[in-house]
Amino acid sequence: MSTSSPNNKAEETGGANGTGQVKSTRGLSLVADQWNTLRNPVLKLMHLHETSSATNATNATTAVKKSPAHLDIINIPSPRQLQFTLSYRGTALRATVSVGQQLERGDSLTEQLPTNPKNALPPILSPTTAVVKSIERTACKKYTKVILSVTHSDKNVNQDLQHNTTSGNSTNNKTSSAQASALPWYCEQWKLLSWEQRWRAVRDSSIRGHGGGGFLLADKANRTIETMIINAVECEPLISCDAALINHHSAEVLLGIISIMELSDCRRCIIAFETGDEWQAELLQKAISDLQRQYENPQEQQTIQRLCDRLSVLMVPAVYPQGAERILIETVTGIKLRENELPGDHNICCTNVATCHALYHLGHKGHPPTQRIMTMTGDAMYESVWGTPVNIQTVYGTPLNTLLETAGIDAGKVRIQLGGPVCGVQIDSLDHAVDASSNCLVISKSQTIEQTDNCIRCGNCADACPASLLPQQLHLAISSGNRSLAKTYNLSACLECGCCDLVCPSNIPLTAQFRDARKIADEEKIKADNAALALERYEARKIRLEKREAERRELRQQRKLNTDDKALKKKKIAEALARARKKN
Amino acid sequence: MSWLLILASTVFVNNFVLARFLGLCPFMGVSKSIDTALGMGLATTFVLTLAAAASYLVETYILVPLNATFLRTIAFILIIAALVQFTELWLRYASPLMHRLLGLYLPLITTNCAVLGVALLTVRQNDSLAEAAFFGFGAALGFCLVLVLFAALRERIDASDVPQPFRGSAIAMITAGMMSLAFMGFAGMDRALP
Amino acid sequence: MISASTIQPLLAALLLCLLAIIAASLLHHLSRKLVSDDSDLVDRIDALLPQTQCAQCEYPGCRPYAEAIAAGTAEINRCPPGGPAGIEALATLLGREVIPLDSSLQEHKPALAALIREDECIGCTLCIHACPVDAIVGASRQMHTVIASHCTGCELCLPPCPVDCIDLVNPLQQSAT
Repeated sequence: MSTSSPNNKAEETGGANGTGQVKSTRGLSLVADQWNTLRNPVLKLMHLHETSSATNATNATTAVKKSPAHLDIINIPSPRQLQFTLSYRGTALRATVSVGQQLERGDSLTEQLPTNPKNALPPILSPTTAVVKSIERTACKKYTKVILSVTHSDKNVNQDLQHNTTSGNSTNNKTSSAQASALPWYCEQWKLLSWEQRWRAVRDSSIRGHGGGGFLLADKANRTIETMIINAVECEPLISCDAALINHHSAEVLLGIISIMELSDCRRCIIAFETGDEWQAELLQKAISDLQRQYENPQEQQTIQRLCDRLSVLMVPAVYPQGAERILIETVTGIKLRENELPGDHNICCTNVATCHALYHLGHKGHPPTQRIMTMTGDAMYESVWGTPVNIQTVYGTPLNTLLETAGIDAGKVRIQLGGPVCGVQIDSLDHAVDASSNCLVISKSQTIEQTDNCIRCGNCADACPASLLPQQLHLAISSGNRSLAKTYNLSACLECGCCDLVCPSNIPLTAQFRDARKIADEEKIKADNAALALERYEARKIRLEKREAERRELRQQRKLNTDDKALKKKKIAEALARARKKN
Repeated sequence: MSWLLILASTVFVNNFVLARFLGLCPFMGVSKSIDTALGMGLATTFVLTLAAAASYLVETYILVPLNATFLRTIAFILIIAALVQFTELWLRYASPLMHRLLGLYLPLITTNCAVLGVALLTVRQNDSLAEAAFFGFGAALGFCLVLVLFAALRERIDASDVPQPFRGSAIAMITAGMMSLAFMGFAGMDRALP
Repeated sequence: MISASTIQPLLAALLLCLLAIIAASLLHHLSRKLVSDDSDLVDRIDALLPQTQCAQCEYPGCRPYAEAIAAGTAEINRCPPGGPAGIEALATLLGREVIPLDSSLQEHKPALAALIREDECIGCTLCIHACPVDAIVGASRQMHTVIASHCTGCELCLPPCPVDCIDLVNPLQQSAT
């Protein structure tokens, strides 16, 4: 286990070390003195509030955000109603429960996964015992929304793993060869599972990435992985849920990291931290050395040592958006993913630290976590019950209404963004709840929206884009409806990080425009794929019908020959009889 | 060096579209996208080069010896029409899509005043077959260059936020005028060459 | 007396006519030889059509319609499932104007999927034969069911059903795989 300095690739990108510097050519280094030059009004106001309440003024954002003294986790008790929107990354799911149905913790609200998932959709699990109160459509009519009424039960339900083990009875012979280690913190049921069954359980427990993307962990990691990257970068300003998690549960996080290393059987695992977060790295290293001394059983020691030897920590530059998967992979491994490539194509997997913690929870307790840590920030938080932005721990499905009530904020007077301040999406209605990809909530008082002007072709956006795109050209292409031109300019490679928004002097909402255009492009691609499949089936049907016609023709021919044959035979028999009679 | 002179002269200094203002119909009509512009440019190149050569031959060996130079126009149109028909046939065979996209502008090369203009100028200016052919080729190259440049500009302009009264042909005309102004900067370049 | 000055122009004219005849015969010969193969163009047009094979354009499938467009015998606005977006794509490909959907045809609806009310199905297999993409599974006197993800919404199975047990529903409400 070692700590290494950023590699050359990172330095080329102009990494910051908290010393204040010019804007790098890729991404934005958001050091305190630069906030004043930012255009985004929400961020500007937040910065003003930050500096007024910061104890350490040299680096205001990092001081308030990430020093251990400020990173408590407030536990929000389970609300009375939970709300789940049945969708997975834009695909609508179908409810398999009905109104009035009793649910236990871990019961699925949607279809279960098929045994050979190719386009697998994860189930949405109920986090607690509840009764289905109602099933409706969401405001946009595209998805189904299930509302649960939480009931409290005395049953100590630990049947979840049994669900998984019975449904995951795989009969393949691989299980014997894939030795599943029994790490000491695993619960008894988990220790008994084979490697295949464990992956089945991870999939069925619907553990998704906690960093905001929300991809199913089983899809990302259940393949040949050589390099596992643990993303503790948390580059977006004002989000500190991962930092809070490491602050309070560093040992458990480490166990989660070891679990995923063991499950994925990776050759090396790199935990990436931002420079400025050295205290987190130190906490983790302390946890590692504690772990190495903790267990006395020599076999366990050996397994743990073997895994720890593959673990290393890397400090990466604090340049936004360093924590974006593609950027981080390039910084850590030097591999630049092409547009259609996934990290899995290069045997890399990038996971958030909180996802690892969720995996630890699954292995240790036997059921997936029912809560997650989320940051609530924004200038309205200074008028909340707690008086500052906070990290909260809340049950999945908690409606936003409940959170705002608990915080003591009037929902009608604030603007809410789901996600971080830079790449979050502003929402119009409060019809949302906490789900797997909710890592932050930005609640801001300012209602003023700065006026959007025309593009003046200054080129700031092209300088700032970390994906080396040309937002100016994309903006022109999309505004004029020329979708093929947008494709030429590589719209699908956009990270939706929001850097271009921040530097645009005309306040053009570029990221929102690109997001919408990408959605339309994805829909069109799906239509085109469906059309291609339909054509394939049509052609196959034509071939089938032609074959059948040909077979029928042949059969008819055969039959004709047979009848001719019969007539001939009859004739011959009659002749033979006649000859016989004549003879006699 | 006279080859370079001819080339520079026909492509830049006396560009047939922007300096002599011939061939404006396809220039405006086909330049909405770069693909069609390139297709048109190549078709015209083929026609122009051969037309210039053939015109020279007809002029030198038929019309002049037989004192029938008043038949020049008809003869040249005959040659150009035949060549354009051949181009159209071949294009329909090679790329039906391009044929479809160029549409009416392909037979209109026959009445393209640039082509007839080149043919008529050839016989006035040039002394040998090779020079005539090269003159036609240079003219076509200039035509092609300007067509593609203009198409690229128009594609960008169509994607931009143009005020409503100027959209479409108006802004295209203004752009063409500015390009013409820009090409005036080449005047005198042929004197600079040795 | 016929002087040189009268003969020469006539000779020139004659020579030009000869040239014209030669050129014309050459072109005639070439036009026979260079037969255009439209299939590339037809492929490109076909790729822009939604492949529902529904015959709402009054051609027996998407490819015949594509061939008709390529030949110039059909307008580009005859495909209701493709809708305005499809017409725009065709117009961009062929360099033509965007025109509204032909009003004599059905309206453009978002894609629906067929759903068989299984209680009422009598197992006659008529819908199975009608489906152009083989999206209905079943056999004689066995249950018939539509594979929702394969259904293109062409509505060709509705008329043959003798008990009228097929509905058209929003596919999102059906299934999401």
